[in-house]
Amino acid sequence: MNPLPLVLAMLARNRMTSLLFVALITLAVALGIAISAQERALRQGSARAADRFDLVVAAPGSPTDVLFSVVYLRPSAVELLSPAVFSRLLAEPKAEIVAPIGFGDNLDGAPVVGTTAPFALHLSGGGLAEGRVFERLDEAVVGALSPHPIGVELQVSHGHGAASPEDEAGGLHGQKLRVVGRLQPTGTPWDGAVVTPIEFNWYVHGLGTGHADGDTHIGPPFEAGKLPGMPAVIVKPQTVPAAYGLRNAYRTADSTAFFPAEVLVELYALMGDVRRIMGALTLATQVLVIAAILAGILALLDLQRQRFAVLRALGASRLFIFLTVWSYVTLLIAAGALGGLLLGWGVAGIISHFLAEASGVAMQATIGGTEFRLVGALLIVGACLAAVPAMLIYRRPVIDALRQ
Amino acid sequence: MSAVTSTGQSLAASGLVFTYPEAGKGRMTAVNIAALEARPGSVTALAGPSGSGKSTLLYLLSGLMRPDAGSIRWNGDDLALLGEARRDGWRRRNAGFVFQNFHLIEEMSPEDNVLVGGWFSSWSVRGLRRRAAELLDRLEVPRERTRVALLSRGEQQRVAIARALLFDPPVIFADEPTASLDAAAGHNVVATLRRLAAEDGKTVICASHDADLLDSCDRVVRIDHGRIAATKVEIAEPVS
Ligand SMILES: Nc1ncnc2c1ncn2[C@@H]1O[C@H](COP(=O)(O)OP(=O)(O)OP(=O)(O)O)[C@@H](O)[C@H]1O
Ligand SMILES: [Mg+2]
Repeated sequence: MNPLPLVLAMLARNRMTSLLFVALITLAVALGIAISAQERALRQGSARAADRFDLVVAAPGSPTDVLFSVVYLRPSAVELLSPAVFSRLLAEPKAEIVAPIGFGDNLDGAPVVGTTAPFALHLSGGGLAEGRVFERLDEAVVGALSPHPIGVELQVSHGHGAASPEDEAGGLHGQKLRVVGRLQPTGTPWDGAVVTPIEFNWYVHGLGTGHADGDTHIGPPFEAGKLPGMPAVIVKPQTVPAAYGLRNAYRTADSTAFFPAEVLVELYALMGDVRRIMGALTLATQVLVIAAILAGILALLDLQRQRFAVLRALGASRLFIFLTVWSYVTLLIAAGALGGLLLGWGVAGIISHFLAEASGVAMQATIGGTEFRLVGALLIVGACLAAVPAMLIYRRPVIDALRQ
Repeated sequence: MSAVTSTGQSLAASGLVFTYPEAGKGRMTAVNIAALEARPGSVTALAGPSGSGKSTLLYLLSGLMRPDAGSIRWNGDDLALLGEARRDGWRRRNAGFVFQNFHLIEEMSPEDNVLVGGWFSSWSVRGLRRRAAELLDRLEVPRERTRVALLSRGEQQRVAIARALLFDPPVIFADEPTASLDAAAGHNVVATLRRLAAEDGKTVICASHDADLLDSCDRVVRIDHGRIAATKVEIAEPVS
């Protein structure tokens, strides 16, 4: 028994309708796939971006705000961490890197971020892509995607606008920076940033350099009395136990300490709820589309009941008719599901591309187990639902159709 | 070959009763046949006015429907006693069907239409292709057309006859095979059916009111209100 030629004949006869059905299923499935793949891309991309920010110490307040400022370079007004806490951190024997972070400047839309040379190196995976790390206050390294070549002189303006009153006051506007190196790609918005010594950041904001007058070296040790407050300090602990020890030690009245992953997990939990709702909605969409299509197919098959009756008269069994209709409907659903998988993947890829461009967080939409399971579930449900029109045609008396 | 080569057995119905349910009035008797025999090597015509029960009788004889009472015997089987699946199988092995409106699959080639029965048989369609081509040649259908819709109506009906002959069944049922053809094409189809009986020893049973067809049949069974009104033997009946 081979219903395939008849299925092909049915496809040929109802070319446009079949195509429309497949297109509808494709769109409904693509919606679900795109949401699922995109959500994972966002989650993985943001988690990977936070990887090298081992432990964040900041003033008590919202860890989410600090995380967005430090990792994703979306600064919001955060409380400043007292220099005393920073000094204490510098003295921690189990902290390998203790790096203050400073924001507030901009260069043609690219953030200018201050930190220390060891953290810049750590962020870059231990070594730079080219050049060397900054050694002087007026040197900088750029992120992997920054357009600035090594050797170029940059003119940094403070804040987002051109000139602010602060520039007139004590701060230094028009301070020049020379690019001396380029970081490896990090998959974070830091890839587009200009990274300067933290002293430069403090200096252009009129906060001194954190060192004694006339002391031009950069990085630790700092002069305790000359340090300003800072939005956050990144700490790279030597060991995992040390990390937990430090985190607990700096959860005090005047500081908070957290692993970015902790904050992200909370965010993901929130996103997960949204995703579940979206998932339910797309599932409902798919079921509705398939139900509508089944109704359409029934109408379509009703027009062809004579053909089935003739086959019965020629000796085809009911089973053969059932198999033919079932294969036809299942084929449409399978084609739609497969098309939806590919289209959803493509759409998620495009969304990821634009999101990555807009946020600076590298993300790649992939098709994984979740999506295959989704399509698999749809195929199973579809194959079961396909039995409905097949059954209805199967049960129809032959003679009535033969007479027409 | 002579007209009297008939090695197979007759298709014989007796005491055949079939009723259709009728709204409000119980049941309406569509067929009530005391005895009817169709012999190999002969063409039997079922004639009668519209609504007299010709098609119903044909559907009963082919096992598409089951009678309320009576028997339909063929080679030891009583079709009236068989379940639906076994009657399907019986038709697959023993019967070919030709309709007034051909009922071909328009988007397929003549050859593929002839092969339709191969899809639901246990034969391989590949092995049947040769047979399909031979049948089409024999019935003078232009095989090279890509779609049967491109054939003339007479040619289409001959494709339908070839389809009925794919497995060389001993019985051919035809319901008004010439009713939608012009005189010439109809005549050609009648001649074809006659040849199948005379040369191949098929048992051919047609429902028709086509005078041309009735004239060239071996036997004409006139049906009226589901009963046999008269039986006319046109040509000497073959002796079995
Ligand atoms: N499904 C049905 N339910 C009820 N009555 C039916 C049904 N099908 C046919 N009939 C009736 O049974 C009778 C015989 O019908 P049938 O189709 O066998 O006649 P026919 O001789 O083939 O007519 P025609 O020459 O017009 O094809 C008619 O009176 C018809 O109305
Ligand atoms: Mg009829």
